[in-house]
Amino acid sequence: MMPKTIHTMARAYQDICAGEDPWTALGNFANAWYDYARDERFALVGEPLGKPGRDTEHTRHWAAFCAASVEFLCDRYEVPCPAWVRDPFYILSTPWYGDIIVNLDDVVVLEHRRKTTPAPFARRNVFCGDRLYQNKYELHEWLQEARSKGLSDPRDIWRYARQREAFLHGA
Amino acid sequence: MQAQEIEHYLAELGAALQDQGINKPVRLLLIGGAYMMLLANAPRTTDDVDIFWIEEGEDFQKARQGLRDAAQTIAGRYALPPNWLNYLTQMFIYDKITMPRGKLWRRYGPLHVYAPPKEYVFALKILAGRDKDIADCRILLPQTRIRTRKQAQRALDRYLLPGALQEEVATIQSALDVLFRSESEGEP
Repeated sequence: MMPKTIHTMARAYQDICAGEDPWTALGNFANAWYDYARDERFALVGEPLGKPGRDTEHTRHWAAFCAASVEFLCDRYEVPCPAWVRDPFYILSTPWYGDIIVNLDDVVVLEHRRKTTPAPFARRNVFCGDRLYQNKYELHEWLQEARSKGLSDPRDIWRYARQREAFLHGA
Repeated sequence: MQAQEIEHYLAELGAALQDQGINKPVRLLLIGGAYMMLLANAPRTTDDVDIFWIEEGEDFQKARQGLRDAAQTIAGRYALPPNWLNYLTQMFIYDKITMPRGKLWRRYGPLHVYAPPKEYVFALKILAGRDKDIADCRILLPQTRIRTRKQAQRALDRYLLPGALQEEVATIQSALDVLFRSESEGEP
């Protein structure tokens, strides 16, 4: 059953620009991508983000993040990648390490981010680390997949699911 | 979902359980985004209500089926995602965490909703280790007694199982690095 509102990436970005917490907006999108609208993935990302009413550092950061997310997810899940993500507008002029990093002098933290960030994000100067789209829906599927492959020891089942997870989202 | 809506849906869930003749308490532990909104005052919405089952047993199995049916009815009534009452998180971290009893937060007929300590939710968030979880840790920390990296580690030692502390050491250290500075930089 579909909810009243389909949370596309364009919708998530519009919500972010309107003041919504970015992780809430992207979480709503992720629920659509992984759960109720998983059969319509291209429709979730095909529409360009649109320009915000007020262009700020915040809206630019998250526009780059959303574009990188679309490229990342389309690549991982074999969905045709829409052309709009290649607009140079979505490449930041200076590196951004995400809103949670408050100490930009901590070289250990920054280095870890640089090392673990997937390429579609790094190409846009967004260094946000991995595990961005790790989610409970897929893990549940992989547990079932492991059982269907004949694994019965719970430890083997978990190992299988976590290997799939690490392959897609990073350890 | 807004905070008020979550409470409304939980109330309907309790009523639906009662309609099914379930009288024994069905105890759930509230975690995730719903916990952050309702108990940590995080300014956000959520698409689902993450819960842990507190108990097992024969009565519980019966209640679980009833709860599933009731959750589907409410999903249909309010056009909610089918997994709006979501217990998947517990399925994949059950072997990594302890289960606190928590405090009874709301009672909706036979549905008893418990709230874990904030330090417990902090430990779950560190284990998840995504940026959005670390952002939630920043909201939780001032509401706990955790002020230093050592105190944070003690909370993790308390609520995460030894195997998880070992297996997830890189995730944990990286999250603590962001929240408390890296170990090479010392305590703030």
